[in-house]
Amino acid sequence: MDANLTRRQVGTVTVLDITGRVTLGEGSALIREEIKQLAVSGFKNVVVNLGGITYIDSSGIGELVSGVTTMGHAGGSLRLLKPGQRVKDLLKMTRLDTVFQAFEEEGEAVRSFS
Amino acid sequence: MSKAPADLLRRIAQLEERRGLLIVFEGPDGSGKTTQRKLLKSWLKGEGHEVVTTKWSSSDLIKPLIKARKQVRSLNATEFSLMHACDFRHRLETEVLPALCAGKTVIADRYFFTALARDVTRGSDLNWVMNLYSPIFWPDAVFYFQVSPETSGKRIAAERKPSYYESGQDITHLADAHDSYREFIGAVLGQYRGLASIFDFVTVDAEQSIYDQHQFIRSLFKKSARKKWTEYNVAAIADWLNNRPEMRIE
Repeated sequence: MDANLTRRQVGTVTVLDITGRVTLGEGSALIREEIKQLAVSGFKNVVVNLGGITYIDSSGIGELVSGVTTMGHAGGSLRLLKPGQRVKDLLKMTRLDTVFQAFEEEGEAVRSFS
Repeated sequence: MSKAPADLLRRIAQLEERRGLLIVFEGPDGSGKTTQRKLLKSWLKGEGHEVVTTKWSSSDLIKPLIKARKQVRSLNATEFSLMHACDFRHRLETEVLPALCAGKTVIADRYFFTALARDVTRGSDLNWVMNLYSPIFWPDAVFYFQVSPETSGKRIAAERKPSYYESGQDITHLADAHDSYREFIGAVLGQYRGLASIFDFVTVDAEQSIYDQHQFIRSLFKKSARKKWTEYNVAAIADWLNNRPEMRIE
């Protein structure tokens, strides 16, 4: 399934719902462009919802890491929602679990910014 | 990591005191890694370091098997991953760790990042490949030689025809090795880009002159902080010590 990304606003928090395969040339480019756009447009609080992804490769994880940096430089923050066991395992193996704040419930993720 | 027994942590801390540094050179073929590896090695020797080099797919135990299977083009993507992971583990346990513990500097010409980039491009699952290399033995620094697919392709074409697997013909199914290489390396570089973020590579602009690259590497080598084994590499060293009783107590 091709990657798809939709953006919605929950109060001051922007939620990016990503579905499908997040791989090189597909979902990873979508994430990069969207986060860059959010950062330059002044959005500060971003939640990336990974609940609908079916697979993510190094380029996809790499874009999430870059996203944390991009938002950090713009004075904002990027957090993960429903990363799933496979993503959690990857984050743990690569020691990125300390870089990302991750949540299982959207309400909890949104409230974490207040 | 905090669950590791105190005697294991003490032993690792002992090894840490006198160990050498593990420096990794990563990047596609034609990025100039080998040239820079040789330059760094001779500079380090001049500075009084004892230096050991380890190259990708060079284990005396596994390399002949990989070579034979490559010659007859009989490796599928899974076997390709597994055999290279065996080769890596064998070198890590018999070359890299003993050298580091003896206080030598080890320069790895490619590390498991090569497998992550190539194997995932070949269609292997990222989690599965990561697990082949777990527990990860973290190097102190990774220099990533970044070039465009065009430059990599041109440099390779000027020297030789890339081999069947090197050019990714097993997955592109293109008849021309150079065409296949260009297509394959573009995807591999995309994976490297992600890995550079994930593993915090130091990126070297491999389109620069050889001299400039070498000066850049030297200056960063001087500044590079070592990754504390007691923080990063407890699980990997515990595995290794389990198979080497003579190394456990000092």
